[in-house]
Amino acid sequence: MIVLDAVTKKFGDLTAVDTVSYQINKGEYFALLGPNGAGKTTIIKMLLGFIQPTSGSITINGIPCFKTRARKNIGYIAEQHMIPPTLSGLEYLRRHAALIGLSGKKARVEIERVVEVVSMSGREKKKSAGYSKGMKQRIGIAAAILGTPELLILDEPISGLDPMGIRDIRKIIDSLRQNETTIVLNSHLLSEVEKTCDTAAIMNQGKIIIKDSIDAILAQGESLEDVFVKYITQNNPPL
Amino acid sequence: MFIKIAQYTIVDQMKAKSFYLLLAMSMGLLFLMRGCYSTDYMINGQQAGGIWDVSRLIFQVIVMGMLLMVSMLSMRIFTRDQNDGSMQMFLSRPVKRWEYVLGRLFGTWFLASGFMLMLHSTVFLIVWFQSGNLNFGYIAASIICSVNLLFIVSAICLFSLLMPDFISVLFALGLLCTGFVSDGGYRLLNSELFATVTSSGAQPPPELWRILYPKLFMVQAYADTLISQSQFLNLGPIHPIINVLGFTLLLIALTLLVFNKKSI
Repeated sequence: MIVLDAVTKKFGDLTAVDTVSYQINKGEYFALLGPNGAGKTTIIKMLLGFIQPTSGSITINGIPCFKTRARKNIGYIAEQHMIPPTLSGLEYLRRHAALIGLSGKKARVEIERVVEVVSMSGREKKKSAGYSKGMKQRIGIAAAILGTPELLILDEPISGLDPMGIRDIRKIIDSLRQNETTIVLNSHLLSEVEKTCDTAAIMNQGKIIIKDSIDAILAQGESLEDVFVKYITQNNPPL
Repeated sequence: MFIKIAQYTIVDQMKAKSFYLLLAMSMGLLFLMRGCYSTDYMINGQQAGGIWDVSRLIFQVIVMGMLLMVSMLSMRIFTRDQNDGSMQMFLSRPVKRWEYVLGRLFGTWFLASGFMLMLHSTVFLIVWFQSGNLNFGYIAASIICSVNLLFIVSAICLFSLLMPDFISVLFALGLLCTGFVSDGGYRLLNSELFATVTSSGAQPPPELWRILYPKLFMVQAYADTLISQSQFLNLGPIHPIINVLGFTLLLIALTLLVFNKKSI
């Protein structure tokens, strides 16, 4: 479904992503791991068409990712999701619904559903300026799952959430997996990835060091954290 | 889709209380000044003209004020959208970049033009009530001057992608002022008053750059002739509206080109 073919992104002299190639299949729950500055967010931004690769190509269902129609069925939540302060959660969701072509009763029913899913019922009409970080994140997730997307891109989705919030998000993601939604997760919470994901790739300094199923990766150590530390220190020895 | 984004732009701006406060204050000020419109001013023992002369001056003051206001509104369109998540909201969805840019740009322009039309209509109505004189040229002139607002919005949108927001406003206002000095000077040198005072003959034809330079001043001068129903003295063979619209199209095309390459 998602194919990255020799993707490189340079910012001046800095190579943020270095000839990365991999494929994510339909319905796969894929985690992108790596230390800060490894190039994970750059890959996610390229997937969304926010930035263009310097070389190589990325396709989603065979469509180059910078084409508008590639984003027709994508839900996205950014790390520290921002909602324009003049809008309420409900207005924000209405705009998202309109942008993906939902209108009238269909939009209303779908918005009610996602608000319920993220446990924001009764609070969705408040101005987002009064929301906590966790509430913004929940509304962001509600927007991302509007219309049940085929591909869900989650960039540190549980950052800022309390344990109850993390559990709720896990439930939401589980329910989406039943619909064969492909999920790309960028996270530092390795225990969470270990519990939930099918496959993972570990990146460092713009390169993929390993990409395999979680089971195969775990066979190399006691926990994902052990394997992660092992690979990162091998590629980037401590000073 | 860009119409939808333009609607969102207008709705968002109108949510701010400051918008209504500014509108009420401006209209209130125009209303308080209503006495000025009905006075027949005498200069050197001669009547200076009808009430439209004073309201013509007010008309130009309103346009200048709106050019400043729209500069302030436009300079933060992209920065604010990037900081508050609006840009990500639109562009993570099946929205083309040109739809987003045109939606924001035309939304801002439409709002500012509506604001300006309301202020001009206030003066138009006051004068109508006071004198019984209906001059629809005043409304037509307001619509024509909205071309200048579109130019400024487009220029600041482009400049704000290339330089800091405040510098982009200074740059655009610099462009505006240069045109006003150049074209204003031309009109003054070719005025009857100047010819009488200096007893000079016909002025030499203007340089090419002055003919091609964005004719914002001349658009306002043309609008003024619609109110006064006088003859328009153009600078060069191209009508100023065509000149400003041409530059605006060029600025919009460049904005789209630069924004297409922008990382979000």
